[in-house]
Amino acid sequence: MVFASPIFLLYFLPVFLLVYYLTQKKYKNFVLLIAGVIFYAWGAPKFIYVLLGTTFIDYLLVNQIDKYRGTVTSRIFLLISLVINVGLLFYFKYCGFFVENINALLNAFGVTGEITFTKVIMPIGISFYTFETITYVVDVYRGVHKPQKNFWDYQSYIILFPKLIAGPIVRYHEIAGQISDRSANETIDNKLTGLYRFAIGLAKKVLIANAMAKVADGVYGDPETAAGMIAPEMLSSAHAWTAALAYTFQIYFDFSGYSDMAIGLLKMIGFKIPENFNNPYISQSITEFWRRWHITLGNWMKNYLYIPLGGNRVKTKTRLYFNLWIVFLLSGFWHGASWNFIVWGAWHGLFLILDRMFLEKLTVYIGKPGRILLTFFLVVIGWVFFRVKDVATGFEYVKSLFGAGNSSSVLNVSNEFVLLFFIAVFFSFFASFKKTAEISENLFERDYRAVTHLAFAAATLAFFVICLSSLTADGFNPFIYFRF
Amino acid sequence: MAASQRFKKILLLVLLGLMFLPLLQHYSKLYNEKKLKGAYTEQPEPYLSLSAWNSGTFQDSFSDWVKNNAGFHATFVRVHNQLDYYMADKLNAYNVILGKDGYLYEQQYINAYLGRDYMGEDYWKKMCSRFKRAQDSLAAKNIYMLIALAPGKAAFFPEYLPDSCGKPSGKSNYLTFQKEMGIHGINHIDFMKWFLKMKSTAQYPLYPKGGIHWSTYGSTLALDSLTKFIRHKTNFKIPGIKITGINVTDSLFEYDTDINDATNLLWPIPPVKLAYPRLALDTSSGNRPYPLYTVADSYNWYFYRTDINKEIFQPCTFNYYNATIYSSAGITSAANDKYIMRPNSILMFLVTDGNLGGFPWKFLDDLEVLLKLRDAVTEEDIQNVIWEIKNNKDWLESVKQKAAERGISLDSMMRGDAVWTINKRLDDRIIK
Repeated sequence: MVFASPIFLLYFLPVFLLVYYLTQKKYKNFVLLIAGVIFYAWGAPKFIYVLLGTTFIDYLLVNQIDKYRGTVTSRIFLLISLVINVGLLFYFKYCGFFVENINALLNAFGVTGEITFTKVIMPIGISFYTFETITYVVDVYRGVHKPQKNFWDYQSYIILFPKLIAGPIVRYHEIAGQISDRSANETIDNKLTGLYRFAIGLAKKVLIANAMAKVADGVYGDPETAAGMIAPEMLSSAHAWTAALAYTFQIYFDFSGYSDMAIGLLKMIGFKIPENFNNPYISQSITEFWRRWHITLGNWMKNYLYIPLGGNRVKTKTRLYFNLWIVFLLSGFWHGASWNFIVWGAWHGLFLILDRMFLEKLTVYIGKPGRILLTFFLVVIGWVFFRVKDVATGFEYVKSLFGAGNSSSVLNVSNEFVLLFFIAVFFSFFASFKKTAEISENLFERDYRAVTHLAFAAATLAFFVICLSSLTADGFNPFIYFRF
Repeated sequence: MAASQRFKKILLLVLLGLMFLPLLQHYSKLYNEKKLKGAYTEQPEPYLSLSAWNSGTFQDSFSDWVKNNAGFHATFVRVHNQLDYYMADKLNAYNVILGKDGYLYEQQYINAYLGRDYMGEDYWKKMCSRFKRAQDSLAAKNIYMLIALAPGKAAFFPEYLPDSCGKPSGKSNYLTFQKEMGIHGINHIDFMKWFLKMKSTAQYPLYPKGGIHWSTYGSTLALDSLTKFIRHKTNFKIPGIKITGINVTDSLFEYDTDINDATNLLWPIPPVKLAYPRLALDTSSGNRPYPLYTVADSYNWYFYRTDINKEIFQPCTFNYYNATIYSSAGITSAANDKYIMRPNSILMFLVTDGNLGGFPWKFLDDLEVLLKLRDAVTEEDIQNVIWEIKNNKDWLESVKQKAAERGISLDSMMRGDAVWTINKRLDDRIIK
C-alpha cells in the first residue's frame, strides 16, 4: 500500500485514525502493530512473514547481546544478527547483481558456463527496515540504550507503518520513550499540524513529482525497463536539460513529499521523528547537500559505517578520503543493485573529497548564488546517472546535456508542466534567504492564529480534493460509445 | 493571538470528519451524485479468498475497485477533468479533440477528413464493384439497395479544427468512395455534400458544437430528403414528413451533447442552441410504409429512434455495425439474426466518413454469400489458412505481434487473420 493511493487515503487512513484515537492508551501500540501488519501485508502478503520472523529473531538476539554485554558471546550474537539482516538484504537485493557480474567476469576470461540464479522479488521497504533493525541491534551492543523488553512494542517500532516502506530511518533511541508514552506529544496542535504536513507532502508527490515524472519518463523511458526512452543522440541540449531538471525535481518532491507524509502522520499519532530533508537544493557544497538530503540515511552511514571505519580520527588524509569514498560507494549501492547507482555514489563521494581538499575554500570567491548553482549543477549531473538503467547510457545522456545530441529535437511540454516546474523551482530555492529560511524552518512548529489555521485547513482540504481527483481519475478515459 | 484550544479541536474534528465523507457516501449514498457519462466498463467488487490474497491479486483488484467506486468518485473525476481543461486545454475522453471556440471532435473523423486513413483508390474500386453486383442481384429481387453518406463533423466544421491538425491531403475515403459510386452506378445519397451546401443558409444548426452526430434538426432534414429520394428513385410511395413546430433551446438532448458529456467536466462547455422540430406524417405523396433494413453506424440512431420513422418504414430494422440488431422484436446479436431478403423492401447502408475504414463491417461478405455471389467461408477454409500461417515463419511472427499488440490470444488472432485472408482471396476472385 502507498500513501498516495485512493485505498490508503479513503479507506485505510480514516479507519486507522478513528480506531487509534478511540483506543485506550494501553492498547494503542497494538492498534499500530495491526495497522502496520495490514499495511505491509497488503503490498507483500508473503513477505510479511519474513518481516515478522526476522524481527522476532532479532528481538531474541538483542536480548542475548544485552545479557552477555562486554563478552565475546555478545559480539557473536551481534554478528549473527548482522549476518541475518545484511544477508537478507544481500539475498533479495544484491545476489542477482553479483551473479551477473561474476558471470560477466568469467566470460571475459573465456570461462564457459555460468552461475545461475533465479531472480527473486525484492520485499518492499527491505532496505529501510533492515537498516533500522541494524541501528537497534548495534545501539544495544554499544550501550546507547537498553533493549525493548516488550516484544510487541519492539515489533510496533519496526513495523510502524508511516516510516516502514520509505523511511525516515529512525534509530530506536530517537523514539524509545515515545513507544511507551507519547501523551506529551498527543496534542491538538500536533494533530493539526501533522495533518497539514501530510497534505503538503501528498501535494508534493501527486501534483509536482508526478507531473515532473511524465516529462522525465518521456525521455529516459520506463524506470524499470527503459521502454519508450529517447536515445541520447536524438536529444537537443535544451531537451536533455529539461528532462534532467524534471527528474531532479521529481525525485526531490517525491521523496521529500513521502517523508512529509510519514512525519506528518506520525505527528498525528504522537510521534516526533527526525527530519529527512532540509531544502537540499540550496546547498552550497556537496558536503552541505548531504546534511540536507535524506538526512537519516546520512546519519546512518556516518554512525554505522564511517565511524566504525575510523571516521575523522584516522591517521592520514588518504585514509580519510578513502573511507569517505567507500561510504558513498556503498550509499549509492544501497539505492539500487546496479552500476549506475555506484557511479552516482562515486560522483558524490568524489566531490565530498574535493570539498575537503580545496573546493570549499575555492568556491568562496564565487559567492553564495554561485555556490548554490554549482552544487545544484553537480547534483543534477549525478541524478542523470541515478535515473538511467546503465552507466554507458548515463554518460551519453550527460553528453547530450552539452550539445552532443540532435540540435533540432524539441520537447513539447504542457502549460501545466511549465507552471508546476516553476512552482518546483520556487519551493526548492525558497529557503535561500535568511528570512525565507526562517519561515521554512518552523513552519509546523508555531502557534498560529485562528485565521492562519483556517488558511492551512483550507489548503489541506484543497490538496486532498485535488490529489484524490488526480489519483482516482488517472486512467479514466471513457469512450463516447462502445465501438466494434 | 494564538487560536484557542476549543477552536483547534473543532477544526480538527471537522477535517477528520471530512476525511470520512467518501467512505460514508459509498455505503450510504446520501448524496445523489450524477453518474459519469461515456462508455466505460464497470468492474465488479472483487472477491476475497486466501489464494487471491496470497498472490496479491485481491489487493490489486480491490485497490482498482476502490479507485473507480469510492464515494464521490464521479465528483473527483470531474474536478480533475476541469483542472486539466483549465490548465492545459486537455479533455479526458478517448480520442476527443478540443477545437477552436469549444468545438469538440473525435479523432477518427479528423483523420478521415485529412485523409490519414485513406484506403486507396483500388480498394474503393473493388468495393464499389462488389456493391454494384450486390445491388443488381437485389434489384432482381425487387430490393432497392442504397448507400447514404452522412456528414462527418470534421469535414463539416473544418474551420474550428485546431491548427495543429494540418491540412487535408486531398485524397480521402469519402471523396474516392463517392466518386466510384457514381462511376459504378451505385444508388447513393450524399448527405455530406448536401449539408456542406446548406451550411451557410440553414435556419438552424445542422451540427451541434459538443456532439458527434448531426443535430436533430440536421437529421430531420436528412430524413425528409431520404424519403423524397426513395419515392423518386423507386416505385415505393412511402409517406414523408412535415415540420409542424420548432423548439429552440440550449437544454440539449443527450445525443446532441454526447462528446461534451463524455468529457465529464464540472462545468461543461456551453453549447450552441439547437432546434428540435415537431414532426407529423405527410401522406400527400405517399402513404404506404415499406420495410427498411439499415446497416449503419451511430448516425442512424436518430432515424431509428424517431417515432415517425416507424410510420414510414415498417418493419424497420437497424443493424448496428453488423454487430447488434435492433428491431420491434428486441435486440439480438447480428451473428444469430441474419438478413432476410424481402421483396419490395429497402436495404440501406448509412455511414460517415470516419467509419469508412471498417465499412461495411463484413455485411457485404454475408450478403454476397446469401446472393450466391461468393462461397461461404467454412470452418475447413479457416483451418486450412491457419495451417498456412503456422507453416509460414514470417506470417506467424506477424500474427504473434498483432496478438500481443491487441492483447488477444494467438488462436483468436490466427482465426481473425484466416477469415480476413479468405475473404480477400474471395474478393480478388470475384473482382477481375
